[in-house]
Amino acid sequence: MLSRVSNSLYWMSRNIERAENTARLISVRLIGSIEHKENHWDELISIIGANEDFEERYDRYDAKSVMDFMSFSSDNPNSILNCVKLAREDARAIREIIPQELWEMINAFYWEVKQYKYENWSVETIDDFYQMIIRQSALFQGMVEATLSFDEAYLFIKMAKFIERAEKTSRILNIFYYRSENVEHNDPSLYRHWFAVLQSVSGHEAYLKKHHPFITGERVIEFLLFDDAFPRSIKYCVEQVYQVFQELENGKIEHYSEDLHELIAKMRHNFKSRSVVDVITEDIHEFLQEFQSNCFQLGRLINKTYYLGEVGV
Amino acid sequence: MFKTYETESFFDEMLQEKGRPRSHYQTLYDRLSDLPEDELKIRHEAAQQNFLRQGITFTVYNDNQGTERTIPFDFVPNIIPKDEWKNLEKGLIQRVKALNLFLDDVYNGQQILKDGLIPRELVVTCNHFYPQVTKIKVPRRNHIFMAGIDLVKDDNGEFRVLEDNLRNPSGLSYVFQNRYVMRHIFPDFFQDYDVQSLEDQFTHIHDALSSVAPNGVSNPNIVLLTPGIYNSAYFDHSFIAQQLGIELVEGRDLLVRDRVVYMKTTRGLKRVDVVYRRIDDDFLDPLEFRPDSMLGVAGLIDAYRAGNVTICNGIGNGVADDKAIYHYVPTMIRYYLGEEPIIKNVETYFLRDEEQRKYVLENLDQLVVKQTDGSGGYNLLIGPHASEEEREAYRRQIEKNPGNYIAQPMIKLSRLPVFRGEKFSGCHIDIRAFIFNGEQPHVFPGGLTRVALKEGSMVVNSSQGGGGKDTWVMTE
Repeated sequence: MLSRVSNSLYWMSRNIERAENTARLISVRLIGSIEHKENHWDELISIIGANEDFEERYDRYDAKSVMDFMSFSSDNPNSILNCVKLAREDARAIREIIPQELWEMINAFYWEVKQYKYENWSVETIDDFYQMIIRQSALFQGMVEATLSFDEAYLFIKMAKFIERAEKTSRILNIFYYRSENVEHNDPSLYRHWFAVLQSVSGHEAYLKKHHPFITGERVIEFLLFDDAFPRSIKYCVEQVYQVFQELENGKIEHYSEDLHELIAKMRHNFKSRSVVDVITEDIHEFLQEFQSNCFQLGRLINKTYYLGEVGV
Repeated sequence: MFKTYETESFFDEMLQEKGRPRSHYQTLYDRLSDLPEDELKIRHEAAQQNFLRQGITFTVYNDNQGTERTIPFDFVPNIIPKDEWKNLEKGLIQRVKALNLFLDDVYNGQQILKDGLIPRELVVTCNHFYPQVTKIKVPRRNHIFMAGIDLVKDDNGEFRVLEDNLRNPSGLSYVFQNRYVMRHIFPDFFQDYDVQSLEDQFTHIHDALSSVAPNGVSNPNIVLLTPGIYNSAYFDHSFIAQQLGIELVEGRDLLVRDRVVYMKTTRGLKRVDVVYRRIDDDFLDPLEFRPDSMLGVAGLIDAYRAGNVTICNGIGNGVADDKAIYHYVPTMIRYYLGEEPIIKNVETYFLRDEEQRKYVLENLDQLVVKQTDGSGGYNLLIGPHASEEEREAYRRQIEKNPGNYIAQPMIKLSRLPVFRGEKFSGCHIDIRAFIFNGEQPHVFPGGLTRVALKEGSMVVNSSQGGGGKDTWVMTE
């Protein structure tokens, strides 16, 4: 397969996943904010690491500004509209590779998102928009599973999705953990806080099945970092990346793929050799930041191993 | 719906004088007359939406909102009876054969120039004549893998060639999409018609590309080279690559090492044997042509010269589809094949010739004047429709560089009904026929029917408000 094609598959997949994660994050905050005055909208901007960009353009971290920036702003490279636009451009560049149905789906998705930008949306009605994003992303995943051959193209899509997911879970946890550090241990808002964290990665229901409605920070962290079965826990995502790598390389390690293999092995080891107590007592922020820098490195090594960066722009 | 329809003084493909349908249109005519206006409206709208959803759009430039438009589609098909098409096929094969022989001659012995049948000056001063590629051994001496010949019908109902496109004719994908939409949204229109299917066409096209692979390559790696997603014909490129099952590549996906072309894959370099390029000659290789080209591949022409890769269509084909050379195509047919042309040209006046120029300038209000190297329907003068000022401005243009222009009588292109929401009105059409050259020449059944949607307009190009129609070649 052409390196440029893998590159497009990879970024198409990451951008769809990114749009979905952002939509869910906002939607959870939006619903959670209804009953309360203090809503920490700035946290969302911190999660995407865009405080500086945001503050240049808006006076304050209110609901409308944050939603506008994260959903539609063309100045924010990670806004939902931009993600979907980029995903569509990548899909267009490889529309002869992906099934026609998948292309049409992404194309229609783009038009739908774009239409919202120019409507007079309000904080009261915008949740429809986020639900639509989440549904379309699910449709995308479903179509990939149902219409794509399980070959290289599929594997690149899958790898990208799990890297994006793991990274987003890590960022969410990192920022949300700060708030839990700043309130009393028995503050009733903590329960709500951790519940919202679970919702932000669509993990509340899976968590309740496992732990029943006993929500503590430690358990939530354990669930999001170490759960073996939840599709957005970081450990699960890392294992998936490993599986994809094995399939891409037919279980072999060649000279060119050595570095990539080594990094994935190290990332797996970090999760296997530690427990949630270790992570909390050591320094959870450091642990998550290391993970994020490993993700960044992972992207670079995938580029290098499969020549994705070799194709000039 | 047809009550107010007027054929006026034009040849109408569907209706004869007195409003009676021609026999091959009778069934469709009855069906259209029976359908309620509202239903037609809904289905017409559904057809346009279908193109948008499929992303068959072109970007409207100078608009940072990223506006994209579809090419309007009209559901009244262009139906061509079997016998009429058979004759056309013969004529198209004859024409493309002669054009190919001409190209091979011009880039080798130049016999036709030596024999004085075509002025040498006309050829060597042509912008699309590339001395860089003379004497290159082209596999099968096949310079034209794919030709797009634009045909019109005059007011006597006789087909004529309006233009040859031998460089990068586009539009093939639209033929398929028009049929796709037609079958989905207007399936009932096909009832009682036996129409040539298009499904197996890509086998012929793939065969044609394989047949010109460099010597000894049996299962060639064929790629389609595109300028990328921002090119207005990108959909065409992507669709054709997909249907042929070949890689769609950009210049940056390829590189040349030791006079061999490779593509960059996730597993390293892979050799390329045939490049079906959709990039103009000038941009193909910065080492040979425009050094500022970002789209091409450095060293590609050298690999071509070494016989390690085939480039389709051949380089320098523009010398044969130039609007001035057009006049000599009948001469070529007689010279190379010893036959009389089956499909006639449109009469052409050369403005380089003093006598002809005099005639043209005196009769500007009755003629169409074109730039010899122009395309896309830009900068042409349609005398009868232009204002006095426009004709004067054009006259001054011509006088500056007369050799750059040709003139043709105003042909009254034939018309077909177009759905306008509450009625049908007659609009002028042309057909782009596609011919593929492999071991045997092959004519694609039908082709792209383009329609000038602006009231009274005869310009069918999509950039000038043209639309598309399905084209049916009857099998019985």
